[in-house]
Amino acid sequence: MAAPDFEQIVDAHYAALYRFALSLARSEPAAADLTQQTFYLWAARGHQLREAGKVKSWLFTTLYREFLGVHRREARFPQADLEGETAELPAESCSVADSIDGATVVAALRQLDEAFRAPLTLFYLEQFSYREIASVLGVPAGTVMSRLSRGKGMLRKILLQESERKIIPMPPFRRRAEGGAQ
Amino acid sequence: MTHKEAIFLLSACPHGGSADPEFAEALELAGRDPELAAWLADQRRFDAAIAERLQGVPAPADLRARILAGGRLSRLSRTAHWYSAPRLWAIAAMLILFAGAGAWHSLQGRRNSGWNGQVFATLSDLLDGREKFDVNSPNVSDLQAWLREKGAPSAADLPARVRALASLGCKTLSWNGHPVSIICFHGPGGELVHLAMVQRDALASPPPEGHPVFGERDGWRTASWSQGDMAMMLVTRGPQEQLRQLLAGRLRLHGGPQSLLCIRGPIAVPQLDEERAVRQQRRRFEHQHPVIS
Repeated sequence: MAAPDFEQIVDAHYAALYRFALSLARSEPAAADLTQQTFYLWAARGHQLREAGKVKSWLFTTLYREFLGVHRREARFPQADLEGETAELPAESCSVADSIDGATVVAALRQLDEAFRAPLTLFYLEQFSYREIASVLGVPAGTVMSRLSRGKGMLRKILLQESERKIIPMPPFRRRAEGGAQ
Repeated sequence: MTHKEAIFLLSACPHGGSADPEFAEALELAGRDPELAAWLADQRRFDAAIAERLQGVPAPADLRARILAGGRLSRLSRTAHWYSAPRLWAIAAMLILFAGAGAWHSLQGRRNSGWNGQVFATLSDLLDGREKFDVNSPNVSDLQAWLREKGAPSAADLPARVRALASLGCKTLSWNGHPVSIICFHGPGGELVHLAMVQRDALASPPPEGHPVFGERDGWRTASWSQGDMAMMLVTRGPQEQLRQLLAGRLRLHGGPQSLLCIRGPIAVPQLDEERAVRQQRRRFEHQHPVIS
């Protein structure tokens, strides 16, 4: 069977790569640039890859490394203390997940520390097993399990807080007070 | 396996299930433990919802076209391993003969053409894989810095809409002993756009200051202007409208009262008459400042 050409590889993977980049980068243009740069590198160096079956893994790994190289110097979100968070999750967080959209999910993922954001996004893109995620990110499989477990807890909490913030209306007296202060 | 260990393991299990033996014991425990089973059901519903939302996020409409254009140039700039196939040697020998003849004609053509002819020839070489970029980068600032470091022409003030494009790489060349720089970009419509720069005093007839002159030659659409000590040319195989849109901000930039006096001059009128927006601006200005006429 002939190896897929560049266009076929782009069609098969660019949307998922962009979503991964979107969760890592701080803006849509930055995510698009990351995705584009990844394929640019593939076009330049992809012929060196001997196993055609590893194209997807190569692309995601390269995108992640590019992100680390370019963006790691940026300010990072502080890492929260998450011990034991997954075991005491509120049941209503699941219904919260049903009522949100993709943009909210991406925004919530971006609030996570990069160490959790990357494995969690790869997990939800359903492109890789946790062992493959470990290979893409260059960390042990046990670390991926740990980060998935804790990251899901954080994601639920953020989504729940976001939902509560949207649902609770601002009291009228407070708006008047803000207006009067001007 | 404890309850907590099972939760830890199952957090990495896809919501659709997995045949991975790593999860087998935890799943078995969930089958016997109602509390764990409830947690797993909730977790899977949550995971399914998040996965569906995330996978529904659309990629930008022009991203695919930009990737394909970038990939094409990238592949052209890499070294192909064709020499590892001996049966291609005969074809290669023939190609060398043709290429030699072609290069001779090309060289003659370049000697007889202006700097723009040299730029077109170099762009064709880049697109056909005969040349590669000196430097690749999606960040135009990096390319400008590299050009400055090499002493090649590099205008500090690029048109705003051109600066906003993602760059691919840059190439330097020499025309009549004068250095020329080319920066290639992804155009907004998927077509590639190239910005060529040369020192203004290298040209016998540099383009007018600040006002682009639009033209077409050998299938290339161009917009040329001078800016300070630099002569610049924006080039594309795409529609000329693309160049106009990329430089529209620049025209507006020069559309203030002082520039409008220039528009009324005999040299600039033919080019700028094509810019409807500028004409309207001029009418407004004349209406507001009748004394100037």
